[in-house]
Amino acid sequence: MNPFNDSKFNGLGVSTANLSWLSDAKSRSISPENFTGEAGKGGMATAGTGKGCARDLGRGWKVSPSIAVEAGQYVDLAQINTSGAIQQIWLTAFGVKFRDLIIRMYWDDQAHPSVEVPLGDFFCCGWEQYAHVDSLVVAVNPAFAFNCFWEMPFRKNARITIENRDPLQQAIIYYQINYVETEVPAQCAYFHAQFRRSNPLPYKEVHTLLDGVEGKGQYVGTYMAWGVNNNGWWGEGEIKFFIDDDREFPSICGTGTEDYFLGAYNFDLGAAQPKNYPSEYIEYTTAYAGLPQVIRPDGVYNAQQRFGMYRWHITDPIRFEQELKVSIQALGWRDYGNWGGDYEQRRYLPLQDDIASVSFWYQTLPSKPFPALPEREFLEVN
Amino acid sequence: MAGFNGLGMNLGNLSRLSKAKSRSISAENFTGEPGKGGMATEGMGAMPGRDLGQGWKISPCVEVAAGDTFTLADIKTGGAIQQIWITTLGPKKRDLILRMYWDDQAHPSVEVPLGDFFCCGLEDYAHVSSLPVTVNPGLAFNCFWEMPYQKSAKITIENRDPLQKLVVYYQINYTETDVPKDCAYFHAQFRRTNPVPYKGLHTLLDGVEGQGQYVGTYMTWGVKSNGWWGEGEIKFYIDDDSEFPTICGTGTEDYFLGSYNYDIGTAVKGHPNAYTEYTTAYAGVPEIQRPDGVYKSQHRFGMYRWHIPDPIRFEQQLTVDIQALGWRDFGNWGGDVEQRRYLPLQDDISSVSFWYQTLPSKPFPELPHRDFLEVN
Repeated sequence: MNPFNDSKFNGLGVSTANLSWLSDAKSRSISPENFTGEAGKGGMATAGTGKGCARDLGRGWKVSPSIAVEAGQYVDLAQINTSGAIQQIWLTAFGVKFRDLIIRMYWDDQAHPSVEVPLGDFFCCGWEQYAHVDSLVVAVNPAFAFNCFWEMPFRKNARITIENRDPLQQAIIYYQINYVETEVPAQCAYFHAQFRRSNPLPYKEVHTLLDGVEGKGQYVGTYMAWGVNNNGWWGEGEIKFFIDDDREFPSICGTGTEDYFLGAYNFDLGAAQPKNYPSEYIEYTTAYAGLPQVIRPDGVYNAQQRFGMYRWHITDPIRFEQELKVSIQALGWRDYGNWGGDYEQRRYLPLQDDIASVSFWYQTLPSKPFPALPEREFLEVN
Repeated sequence: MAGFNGLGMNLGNLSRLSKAKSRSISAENFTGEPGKGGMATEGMGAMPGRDLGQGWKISPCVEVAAGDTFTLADIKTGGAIQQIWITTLGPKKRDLILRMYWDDQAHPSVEVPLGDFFCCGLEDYAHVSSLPVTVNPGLAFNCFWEMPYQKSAKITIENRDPLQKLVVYYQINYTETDVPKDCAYFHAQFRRTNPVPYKGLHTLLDGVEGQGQYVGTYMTWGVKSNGWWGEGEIKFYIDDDSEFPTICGTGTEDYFLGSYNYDIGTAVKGHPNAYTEYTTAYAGVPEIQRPDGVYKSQHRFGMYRWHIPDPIRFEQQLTVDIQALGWRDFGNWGGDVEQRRYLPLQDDISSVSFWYQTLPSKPFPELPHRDFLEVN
């Protein structure tokens, strides 16, 4: 029972504040050791990727801890046919690049996916390299353990797939999808996530994170992978949230890219306090925002300076009633190092950077189909 | 003029006498007239020379106000420029446009940002030690291109910085002589493609009409992807060439007379992986800008190739372009070398083409606004 009213606690919205509450919700878990999540059916496999290693131990001894996804194929990670909510996902993969693995999620028989994102980007690791991420909803732990804690409710069914777009190599996936079977209240919306990339961003144009969203819901998070194509500081651009009837001007307008990711002064303590600190970008990863990844060039073949950043709107979701559009500018500074010394003469430089984003939001169904995901060649990190 | 005209100077004809006249224009002798050097009583050195007086470095340089163009040389007799030395203070080199006009042609035969003309297009110092171009410490720009003309020569420098004044030190050494009819005119043109469109090309030169020879290339190359970036081929479309060129290179570093990514480590076991600068008589990679992990985030290269023993001759027209190619799947193409694929790059490429040709030459494409020349 919910101790604060007479209704039964459905087991959703779990937090430290309601951990003591009893519920009739059923805990279930899908993995290669239990593909269906059925009660009492875990660890029964007699065939699987661990069969050879377990040949002297037999059934029950890690016979099927992972799956192989052949080149060009996709598989269902989960197919759930009751109402409930996914509460946690753990997943790790090897063999192919993460931009070649596309995770998709479908809710309540909608034919098109509500989530369609390259695997690494979904877990804040868009650059094919490890970034330690320590946030409330996404955690990436050594070594490349992708975790999320987004609550993903559904009323009839849920389907999660992974596609291996590498034409040559097999992917190996280890995964565990923890969910709950329960009744889902009418006001619960559906989890969505969409990937986009602009590479390079055209001169004086903006990177669109999201547009064409129709329905009621709330925007809850952003991950961005940003490759810098100019010298100097690159994060003066403003993010803009165009809510419902907003047209030319948004309701919510940021003040700078690092500001949106809850940092300041170029993510550079040396820019804020030049007497006390050297000039350098500094990684951070916190509950609601982070710069978990700064990739520094090595002067030879790793030539590119790149950043991974996230911002979760958990305490401050951005609610919309009919539609939502999100865009961000890419701005740096012209005349870097030679603008005559007169501060008033500085000018912004429209950047032509390599920008990828994942937008996370909840909304009512039906949701509009996403723009077609580009060919793998245009997702590749080069 | 009977006898040796004093042109085509090299070691083999240094002993030959000639009636050609040696002349020199600088801030100490703006006209180059004989016996008129060091006469100034006003100039940028007047204050430090105030106790010494005329003849004591009173006018070693000139100022060019923001937005102004200054005529460095205006020569009214036939002859040839044989050497130029120039150095500047103040604005960025991409804001300084060097132009040259021959025999009263209204449009320039040379229109190039100053640094690029001297193989320093990236707003930094690069030591260059080649036959026709040298850059010596600190930022002393020199060239030895022979630039003949029948009637007149004009050289200007424009300061496109809207805020800062320019200070120019320069010396233009030339000869007054009769110029044979088969001497063509020196040309140089700058272009930038930033970024190169996906699967597009960087065009170094097109629309050239006349007879002549292509004699050199300087390029700056900003790398926007990881991995090796220089698989692209340069192509010279001569006269009637249409879809396919007569001269086709095999790779970018090959054209600049290097090999294996300019990286000894890829060619020879035991060497570390590192790009290695070189500057030689006919080709070089004099400049490699390595990122510092903070605000100098860009990896950039400056490269030159002079076609001096091997000029590329054309009789009516010439087009030159280059591909930008790297490798896909850097570090993860499954280990099977046969499965590797080229990656069309979207790099920041600029070039200067150097050639000689008959006049009239076709006007150049309009030089872009300074905002699009800037090195950011």
